[in-house]
Amino acid sequence: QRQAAEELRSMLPEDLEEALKDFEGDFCGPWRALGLEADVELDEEDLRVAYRRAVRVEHPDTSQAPDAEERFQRVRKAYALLSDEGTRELLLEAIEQQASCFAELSGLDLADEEAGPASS
Amino acid sequence: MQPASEEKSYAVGIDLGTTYSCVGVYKDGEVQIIANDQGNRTTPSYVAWTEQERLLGDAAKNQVASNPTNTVFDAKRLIGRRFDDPIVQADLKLWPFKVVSDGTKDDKPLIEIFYQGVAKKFHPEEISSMILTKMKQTAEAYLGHRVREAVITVPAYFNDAQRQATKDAGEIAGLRVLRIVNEPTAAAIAYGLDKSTSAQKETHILVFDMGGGTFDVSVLAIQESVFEVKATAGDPHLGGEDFDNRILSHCIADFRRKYQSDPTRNQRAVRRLRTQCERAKRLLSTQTSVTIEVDSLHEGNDFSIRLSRAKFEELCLDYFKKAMEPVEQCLKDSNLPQKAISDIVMVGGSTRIPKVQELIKAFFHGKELCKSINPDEAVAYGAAVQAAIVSGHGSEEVQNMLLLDVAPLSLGIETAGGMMQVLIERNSTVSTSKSQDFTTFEDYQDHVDISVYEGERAMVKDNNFLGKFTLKDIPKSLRGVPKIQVTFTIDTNGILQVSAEDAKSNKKSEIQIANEKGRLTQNDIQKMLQEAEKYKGEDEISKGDMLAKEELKVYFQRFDKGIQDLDASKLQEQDRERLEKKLADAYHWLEHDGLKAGKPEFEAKQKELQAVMNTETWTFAGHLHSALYRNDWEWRAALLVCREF
Repeated sequence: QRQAAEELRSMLPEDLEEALKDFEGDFCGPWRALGLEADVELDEEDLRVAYRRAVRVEHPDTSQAPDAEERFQRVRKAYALLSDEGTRELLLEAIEQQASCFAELSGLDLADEEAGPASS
Repeated sequence: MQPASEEKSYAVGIDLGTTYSCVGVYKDGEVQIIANDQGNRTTPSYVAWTEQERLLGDAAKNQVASNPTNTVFDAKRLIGRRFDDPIVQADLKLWPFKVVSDGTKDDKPLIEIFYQGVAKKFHPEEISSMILTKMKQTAEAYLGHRVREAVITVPAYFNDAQRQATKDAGEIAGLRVLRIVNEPTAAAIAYGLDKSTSAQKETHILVFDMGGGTFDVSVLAIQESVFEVKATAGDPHLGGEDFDNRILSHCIADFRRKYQSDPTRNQRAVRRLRTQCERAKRLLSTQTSVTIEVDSLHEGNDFSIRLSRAKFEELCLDYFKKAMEPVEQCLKDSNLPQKAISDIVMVGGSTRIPKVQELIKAFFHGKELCKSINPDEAVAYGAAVQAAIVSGHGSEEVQNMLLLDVAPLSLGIETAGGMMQVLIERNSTVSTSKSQDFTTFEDYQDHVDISVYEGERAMVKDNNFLGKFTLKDIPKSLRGVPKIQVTFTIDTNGILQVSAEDAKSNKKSEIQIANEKGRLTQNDIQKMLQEAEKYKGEDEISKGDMLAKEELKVYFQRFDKGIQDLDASKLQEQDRERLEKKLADAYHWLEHDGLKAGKPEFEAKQKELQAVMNTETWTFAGHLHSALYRNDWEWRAALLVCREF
């Protein structure tokens, strides 16, 4: 599965692949940074509200966390990525493909286990 | 010993204005604007030395006519600037007090006064610190407690040097400066407490802040009590004092006509007349005409003139119209149409002028202006709230508010051909950081120089230099191969840090641009912004020329390398000579005619070389082609290189 994710990542534009490094390469990372689940239904306004809420929590003025500065930057980067419609669609697509890959793989695994000898 | 917590200490908010200052404190769940010992809620930013003592505020301003050369004001117009700054040079002609250079290479201005027979010199920071001391004492008298911490406001376009100098003034006054806040942003908080801003829907407001000496416009987005500045613009030198000067000139011209004598060199006369002009200007906000009267103004002649509001507006109309430019700029920068602005917040004494209100109202197609907050006190009010937030003394409502401010100028580095590569755009929210990859320009280049600039022009020579550092020991390889990551970071205090790292060797080098000497003056910023607009077209052209020239140079190098790489079996000696001759000619052309050539000429030359290449045998053309375009991205990346040998 990890391999599949890597393959998908390398299909993304270079700058987006680079930007995802701030989110451990997780396609859902930008949404999570804003306290959201990756969802096609989210519109600009939903994102903006989530962004401002996340900013309030993570901003160095309000947050006591020692890495508040970095966390705040992550929120800003996440919002910058997601407020671009093209990028948002690319990420959603990647998530979908990853999910279908995963479904396929786990389907295979199951089939293997059933067919093969019962090893641990 | 008493535990420190026993002694109660307050954090106050101070609006340190060019002409007037104001102090507020957040106490018992609300902001209180504190009146001084004269009962006034704003205090003149004046310091004076008499035979016996130093006077501050109202006391200093009240005796200005009898003691003009030892009464200092407008220190805010000097703070963080150099003596040779054209703004300083223009201003000091109007001031009755003396300003001199400190004679060092920093060329700082010093204010010279006579006290008890001795000449004394003060930095503008010291004068400001005296005013801050007065504001601190005012607050202490009211609170009955020591005041140790403060939030101080500055115009939004104040640069690092000016911010730092203002902070220094606070420290000199014995205050720990919790934060330097932009004036329009502070005013927006005052507005925010007045209206309910906790709504989930995003709203946009425009703050129009025109005070005694400075003018700021900011557009903010407000959502659930988060105040995000979208754009800011302003004029460093536009305010009530400029209008006073226009009335003053008008009166002096009239006096000259009536008495054939010139009072301009009579400091006391000018000062007395100026006081009456300021008064007349204020009255004209509510009356349609006033009489300016000064008995025995000059050489025993009384002066009296009738001034109508219409005449006053005529005298200042160019100023008023100029004030609309930053409004337009701000909307453009924040990508908003006029109708997206839900409230126009008027701040600063000069927004009382009916004509100013009329013009901005007309600009927004007749929209009513928000005048529910006190234009003289809103900035101090907001500063007091921010002081409570940062020191953690606010109520829940206040503690919920959050400010996101912006960097007023673009920041970037120099790349090949002296071009500015912007990493952080103007109006970016702080704190922020941005990285970009660069590469080398020459084969086997082992170090690069990174020069940091601020400004809006395409060429670095037109922008303001901030600092320079070198990244050394880059592993030697062909040009375009090393990957050098340059990172810009601005923290919440507006301090810029730049670092460069070579991806292969992990060598790292960095520089902190904080309070660098000789940073931009306000005037420079404004001038650069205006020039940038004016020269935008010109920049586009020179940027195109420069790119074409650099492309051609790279083409030459590749061409040359292509020829050298081919052995005799693939390229006959006579062909080689012919090609080398062609290349040498082209180099010669670039060195000589290339100096004044434009994009079309460079492109034509490149086509010419391509044509030469195409006449060769297919094998050779193929070889050369692959040498030339072996790695297209690399070739393009080479254009963004720091040129250093």
